[in-house]
Amino acid sequence: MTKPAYIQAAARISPIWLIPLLALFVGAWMLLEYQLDKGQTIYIKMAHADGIIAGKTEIKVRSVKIGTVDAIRLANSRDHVIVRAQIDKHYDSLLSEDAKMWVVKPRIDETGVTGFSTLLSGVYIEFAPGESDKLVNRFDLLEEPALIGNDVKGARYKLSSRNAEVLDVGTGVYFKGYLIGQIETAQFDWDQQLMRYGVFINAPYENLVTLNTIFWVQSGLEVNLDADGISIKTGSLSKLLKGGISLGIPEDNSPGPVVKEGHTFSLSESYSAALEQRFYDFDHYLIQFEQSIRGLREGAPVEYRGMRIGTVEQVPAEVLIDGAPAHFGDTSSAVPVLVRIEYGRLYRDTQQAREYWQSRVDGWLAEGLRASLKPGNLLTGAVYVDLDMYPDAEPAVLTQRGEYTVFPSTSSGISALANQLNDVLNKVKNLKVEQSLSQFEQTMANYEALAADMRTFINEPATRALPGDISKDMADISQSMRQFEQSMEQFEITMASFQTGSGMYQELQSTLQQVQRLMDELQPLSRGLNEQPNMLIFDKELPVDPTPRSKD
Amino acid sequence: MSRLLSLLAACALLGACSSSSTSLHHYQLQGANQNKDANQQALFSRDHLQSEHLLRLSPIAVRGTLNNRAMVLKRSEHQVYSANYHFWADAPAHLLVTMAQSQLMQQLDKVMVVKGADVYAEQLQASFFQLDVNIEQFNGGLNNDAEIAGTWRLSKVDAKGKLHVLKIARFYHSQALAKDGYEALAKALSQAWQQALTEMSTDINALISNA
Repeated sequence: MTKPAYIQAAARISPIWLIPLLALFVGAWMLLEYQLDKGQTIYIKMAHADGIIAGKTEIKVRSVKIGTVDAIRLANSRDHVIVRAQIDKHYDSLLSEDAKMWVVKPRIDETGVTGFSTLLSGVYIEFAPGESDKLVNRFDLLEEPALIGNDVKGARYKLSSRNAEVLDVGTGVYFKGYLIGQIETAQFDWDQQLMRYGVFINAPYENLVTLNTIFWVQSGLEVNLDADGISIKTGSLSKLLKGGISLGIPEDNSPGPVVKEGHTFSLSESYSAALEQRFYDFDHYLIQFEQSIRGLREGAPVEYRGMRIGTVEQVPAEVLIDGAPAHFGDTSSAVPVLVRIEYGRLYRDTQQAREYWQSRVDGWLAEGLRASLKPGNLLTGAVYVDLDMYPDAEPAVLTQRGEYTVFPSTSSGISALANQLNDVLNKVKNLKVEQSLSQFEQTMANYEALAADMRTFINEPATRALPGDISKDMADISQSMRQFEQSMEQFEITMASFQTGSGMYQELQSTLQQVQRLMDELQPLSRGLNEQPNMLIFDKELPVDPTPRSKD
Repeated sequence: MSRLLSLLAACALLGACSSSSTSLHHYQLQGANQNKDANQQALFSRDHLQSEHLLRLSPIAVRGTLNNRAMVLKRSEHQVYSANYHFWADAPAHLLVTMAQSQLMQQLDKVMVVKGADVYAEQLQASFFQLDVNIEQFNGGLNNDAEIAGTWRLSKVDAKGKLHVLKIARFYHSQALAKDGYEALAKALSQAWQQALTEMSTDINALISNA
């Protein structure tokens, strides 16, 4: 008799299923944790990904790692690269829209060697946080390191330059030789044909930038050869090599109010040019010379009895009169020259100077004020425009030609003498002395005419002024030579400061002495090795020195 | 027993490896009254109020092997020997110029003696005197003596940095060694150099007074 089978229903779900459930829960928890810990993902646009490695290249702020590049891909347009990077969660707030990024890699430029450590560690991306509150996740990589950090205080100004040499970004801005800022941007405006610079002046030196501040290029060596003679100015050797922009206030000017950030200044090619270009209140006058204008250059002075009152602007004046160039006129052989009468040169208050000039100029013309060309420098042949009183001059007034006012001129100086001499010689040539005695009376009359001309010639104020002119020119020459000598002495002194006694010299000297000492100490060893090449291996020694003996 | 013998053998072998190195010796020049007492010390100090003249001592030029730190002995008229184990504590040119400064300061009243490139006429806007010394012999001689020989030149440098030579002269001094050895040689060379400086300072004093 068999026992009846006892059948018990098994549990529907096996406990073994708890294990995958647990694994799923742990996995989900890890994923959640990862997502919660993960910081912002950013995308950086760059021209090329040279040196950047996904998973390795770090993003740093002041050498502190804030994230890592995790993917690099070529943009669909194939003209740039998109780099994806994960920023650590704590640093999400740094991703402001005005933040800057650039690649730190070894660079050698005029400021020195930077990023040398990345030779071994590989490049990294430097991140300069901005100040904006708006956060973004797309950035453009800068080609060059940002010159001015967002946290550096100061002010930005604009400079425009038509003639000065082109300067690089990063070139220093100096005040009395002290570095106070640098060029931040440099752009050529093809439309206006001028260079536009953005300069950054560090705080608190922005207070030096006032309305009357002038900016000029400090090239280190400035040679000026003009109607005033030769002048050479030298700066320090570093400026000679690197150049720079200097700013300052002209000696006779007050600084004026501090300008607002963003003010535009003119950048001149030299200090002397900057001094000349600061007279913005002027009037144009056209002067027509009935003589050669050889030696007259743009920028030459316009003087009234030795006092400078203006500048020559165009030689010859390129003005159109009735559609034709004025200097090839059909009716007149005179050569027009465009000059500026700069009121700032007459008096500090330009408004007052302008009113005074305009109210009195007609009266002066009636008294004989005329413009003429005078030799400024016999060495260079440069001439300048001189205004002076000629009481015997024919009456003249200001006239209008085209859009310009014409200032009356007169021939004077050497050209006037030459003209007079020419007249005399022509008269001599016209004398027909060899003809018959019947013409004797006529000849006598001619002689009388000649004598009269000679008398006029001798009595001419210009003839009398000739010795004065020559002595002035000789004084100019000797002054020029003196200036040249002084400049060369200054240059010698500048060079001397880079020779004996300078820091670099001392350092070099000390290094050389150390090398010399080392060489001295190695000398017996090298001599021993020379005599016994195996002395190091077999522990041989140098021969014992002979003893110096006394007589006793 | 065999263990003890092998240990002794090993010690003997290691001992054979070690060398008996010959030691190096360094020497310096010493002036007669240098660093002795406070009165002498006062002679070596000078301020600009006491000084009527400024004498710039140019770096002393010591020729060829003589300026190596190894001490030099003359072996024959045309041969010299550089020591292997006996050295000057500094380059002879430096030792000579240091001693010269202190000795000249002591012997020249009212003259401030400065070394090397401490003086620039352009910056001072004043003239000064300059002493250039050229050393041709600075060695142990053939006659149990120490020899020092060379030339010196005194110039006046005006405010513009132009140099006017006042005198050029040769000197030769020999000093017998008091006893054997390199230390005695160093002492004899110090004495010879001191004699040369004394002779030089007499001439310089006269020249500066007349200049």
